[in-house]
Amino acid sequence: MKAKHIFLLIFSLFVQLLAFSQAKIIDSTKVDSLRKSPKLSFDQRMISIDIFDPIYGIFTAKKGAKAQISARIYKKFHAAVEIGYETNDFNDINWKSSANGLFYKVGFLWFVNNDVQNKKNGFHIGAKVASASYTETIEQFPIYGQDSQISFQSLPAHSEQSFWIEFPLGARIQVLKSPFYADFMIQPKLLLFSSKNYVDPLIIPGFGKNNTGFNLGLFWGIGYAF
Amino acid sequence: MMYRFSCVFILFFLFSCQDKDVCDEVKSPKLIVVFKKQESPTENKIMSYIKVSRFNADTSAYEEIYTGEQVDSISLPLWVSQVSETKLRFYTNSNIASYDDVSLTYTPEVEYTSRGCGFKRLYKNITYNLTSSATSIQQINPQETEIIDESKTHLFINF
Repeated sequence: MKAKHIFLLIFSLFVQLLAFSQAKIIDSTKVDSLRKSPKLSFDQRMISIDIFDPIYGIFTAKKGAKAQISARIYKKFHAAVEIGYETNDFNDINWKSSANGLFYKVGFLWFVNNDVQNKKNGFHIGAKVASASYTETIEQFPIYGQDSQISFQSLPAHSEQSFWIEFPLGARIQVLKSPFYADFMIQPKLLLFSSKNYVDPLIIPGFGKNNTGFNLGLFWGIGYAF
Repeated sequence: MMYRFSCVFILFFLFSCQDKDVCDEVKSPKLIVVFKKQESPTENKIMSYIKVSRFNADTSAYEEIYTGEQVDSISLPLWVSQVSETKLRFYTNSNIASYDDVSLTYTPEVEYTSRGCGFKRLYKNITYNLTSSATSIQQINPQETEIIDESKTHLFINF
């Protein structure tokens, strides 16, 4: 647990330093001229591969990978599609389960500001709808008696489907003069609906532990502009 | 635009404050037993003393689960593990070691309640058996063949 926290701290500091070192001054007059373009476009294309989850998976049971493809479609709006795969365990208060499966997210990112020297740089907020198709195995569930008895049973693997929305906040900064970008997002998530096979899903790939219906995800990616 | 996003975020956090680990006492139902007078089965019998033990197969011993005085009904916890039988031993006098055995055989099932409360055990197709060597208990009158809640009396025991 301690190693995981130290890793998170160092990783966060490194990426933030990288981002600030690459920050550019924004020319507001040129930004205004950019806003006048009314046409639909399909430029500023970028594919970003998350590097956080694979490294995080070394220290925890959460293992997987995810990637995002985005492109500017209108003014400061970028369409974004995220796809990933995840396996994870849930082990909490007499419950044990594991889940693995694919998740998909579709939505948009709205760039708050753009660097005129490099339009792909900038901070963004957005919204995505997401779904996961996965297999969950409940290895242990508790049966409580009124005299402090607890008994345990298990359930066989079963398929589940979950849906949620998320509102990512992030930034995208070019790494030196390369076609690569540091692509960072915080992803607050709110679970909307889950199929239910005996019990509410305990853990959902792409969403995380389902304790309160709310989760906060991270995307630390390396983007490639094409 | 920023104002709209701010509103969405505030709503987002407000709707995410329910904790699924809280349990409000929905647990496996107990066996409800009412004592009756053998000579007048419609009347409840107030027991001056009653002690009940439950057989534990792991320790091969009876363990006390209830002791009371001046009661005409009691509720007894059955096993919540996946066994299909609970053996109960009734003592009606604190000074005398004599007892009566009542066993319940059933089909154990489970029902999901919530994350915090987990599952509860349900007991279906119950058969009640009074041992032939019974001394104080004269008769048992099953009222229900399943225990799924505690809203009904499941068993009458006549003394």
